[in-house]
Amino acid sequence: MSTDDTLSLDSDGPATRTGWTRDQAAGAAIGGLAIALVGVALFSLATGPIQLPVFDMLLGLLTGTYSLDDPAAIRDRIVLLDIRLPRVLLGGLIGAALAVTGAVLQGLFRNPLADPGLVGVSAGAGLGAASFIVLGSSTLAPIANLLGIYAVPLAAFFGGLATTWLLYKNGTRGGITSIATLLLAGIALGALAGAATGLLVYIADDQQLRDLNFWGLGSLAGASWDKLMAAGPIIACAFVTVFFLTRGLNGLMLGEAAAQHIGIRVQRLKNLAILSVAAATGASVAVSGGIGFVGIVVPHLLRLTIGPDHRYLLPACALLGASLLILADTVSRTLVAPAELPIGILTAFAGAPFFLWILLRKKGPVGF
Amino acid sequence: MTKQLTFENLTVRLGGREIVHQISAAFAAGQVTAVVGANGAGKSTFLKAVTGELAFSGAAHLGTIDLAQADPATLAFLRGVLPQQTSLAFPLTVDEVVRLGQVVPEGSRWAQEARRRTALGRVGLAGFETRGYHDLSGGEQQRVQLARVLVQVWNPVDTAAGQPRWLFLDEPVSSLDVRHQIQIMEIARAYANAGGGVVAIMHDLNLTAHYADKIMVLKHGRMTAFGDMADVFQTTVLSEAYDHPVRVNAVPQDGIPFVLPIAQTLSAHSAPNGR
Ligand SMILES: Nc1ncnc2c1ncn2[C@@H]1O[C@H](COP(=O)(O)OP(=O)(O)OP(=O)(O)O)[C@@H](O)[C@H]1O
Ligand SMILES: [Mg+2]
Repeated sequence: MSTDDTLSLDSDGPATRTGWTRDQAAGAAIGGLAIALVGVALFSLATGPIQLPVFDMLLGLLTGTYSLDDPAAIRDRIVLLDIRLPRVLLGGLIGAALAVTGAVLQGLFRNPLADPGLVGVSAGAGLGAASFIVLGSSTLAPIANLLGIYAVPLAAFFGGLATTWLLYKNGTRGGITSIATLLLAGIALGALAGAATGLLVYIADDQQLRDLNFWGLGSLAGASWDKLMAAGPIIACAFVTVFFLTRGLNGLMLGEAAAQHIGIRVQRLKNLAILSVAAATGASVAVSGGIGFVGIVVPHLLRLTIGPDHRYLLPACALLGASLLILADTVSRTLVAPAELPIGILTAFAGAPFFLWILLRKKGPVGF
Repeated sequence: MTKQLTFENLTVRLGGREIVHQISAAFAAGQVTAVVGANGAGKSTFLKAVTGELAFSGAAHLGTIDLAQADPATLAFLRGVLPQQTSLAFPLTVDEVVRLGQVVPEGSRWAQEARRRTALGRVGLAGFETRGYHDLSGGEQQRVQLARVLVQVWNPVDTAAGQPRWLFLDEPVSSLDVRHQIQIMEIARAYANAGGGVVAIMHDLNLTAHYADKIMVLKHGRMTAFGDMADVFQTTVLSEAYDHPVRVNAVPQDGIPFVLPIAQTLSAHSAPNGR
């Protein structure tokens, strides 16, 4: 071998490639997921005890030609705009939030097993929410009155923030995250938060108990425009933030030291990622309770198909997470209609076996 | 003055111990500077202080930039770092790993891609772009990492400011075969010849003899020698540095020194009762 040709500075034309590059494939996948999301949302809007002609109705409403002549049309309009639409939007929002926070947390800990539900962040957020549900009218009344509908989401946010921060402190030493320490610390923190929540359950009255139980199982049944308004802005802020962190999260795949070498402000990246995860988890837990496995299954599935590049992974997670949760919610409210199955039960039934399958695969992309 | 990397009483403490003591020296751009010394001598720690990974006391300047305060993006433009070890958290392809060196982009998308391809060609991995990084051998992975560092500081001299850029390499050839050791050291040499600075931690003294202009010897965190090959490649200096007798000789034809560690037992081949 001559060293001359390896050292030459030539850079001939663009690569001639056959087939798609991973970038193009990821772009196409995102497009496909976006279309799927629209389809799923329309399907969910149409499905229920009353079948709605969603296309015609939306067309009529958007063009102002929707006629309110007969009572059925008025009823349909109420069902669509006041019941199903907020529910579908909230489901999409929460699903997106769960999947994206899962992916961000996994990028931050450099480990595909980190998930807000699994490592206690959701439990911490749950404790925050529970304290306001139970104590909001007594001990914490001054704060609760001040914050209005934002009190529970904010409390959940701070609960999630505290847990994420403690977790990071415990699981990471010298820039290296030990998965064993992380999971164990997460279990301990989750148990602690669970016990404290249990204490609150113990002192709660009947109405509070119902509220607590309701989101404890995870459900979108209470969806309303109010809840959407409370959780929406918080989750939106978190999304905007993390979409600026994609390059940083990519760099972090090399480890903290190398990430800093290639020009990333690692400390700032970590702070913003933790804040966003806590905010989005807090807001979703506050309105819908602990919905498990979306945050671990969706990012994992997408890493297998479009690769781990966060620039594509995060948008794809948002779209697929939203579709899956809307779909799960549609099933949960139609399967045993007129009753409802808490959606957390459904996602666990679908997600847990999938998770086991990931672990049992001989050569998983996670490398262990 | 601005083309130098200078240290004044650079000291690093870790876990309550002083790992690197009061190093004062100046490395010049346009040269390959090798840092040698025994395991645990503090070579990596010294380099980590210089690359902004560890806090230190004393002063370190890259040209006029204070290394204790510089921001990561500025530094990333001026120097690339090849760590002794790198782990990758998620299964990227080779091209995606190299692209991480372009977080702070330079040039058009097209130019960047061409650069990545050229870099992979230089480290002997042409055509490896779409392979999975985790499926490569240890030596191949090490060369992918080097390609990543190369695309980060592609031009040895920043033409706008006429400022040299630097490569910091912690044992760049530690898992490479003979041919690729030479190939990588040639890259380092060419980078320095083109005006860039190269600092490489080395264990192979013979490769060092071939490619280094200046050699710094560390022992127990102290600098015990720093200078030209002729001054440092002395039997006494090197035997002292490693606490082990070595013999320095020169290749008859071209006078390049070579170092022979002295074995404690007789050679298996020269022993008359060997078998
Ligand atoms: N984080 C740390 N805390 C305490 N001591 C440390 C730490 N990191 C390194 N050391 C110690 O500092 C000394 C120098 O380590 P360093 O990694 O710089 O050695 P080195 O010269 O690069 O060795 P090698 O040739 O094996 O790579 C070693 O004795 C090591 O045990
Ligand atoms: Mg070392």
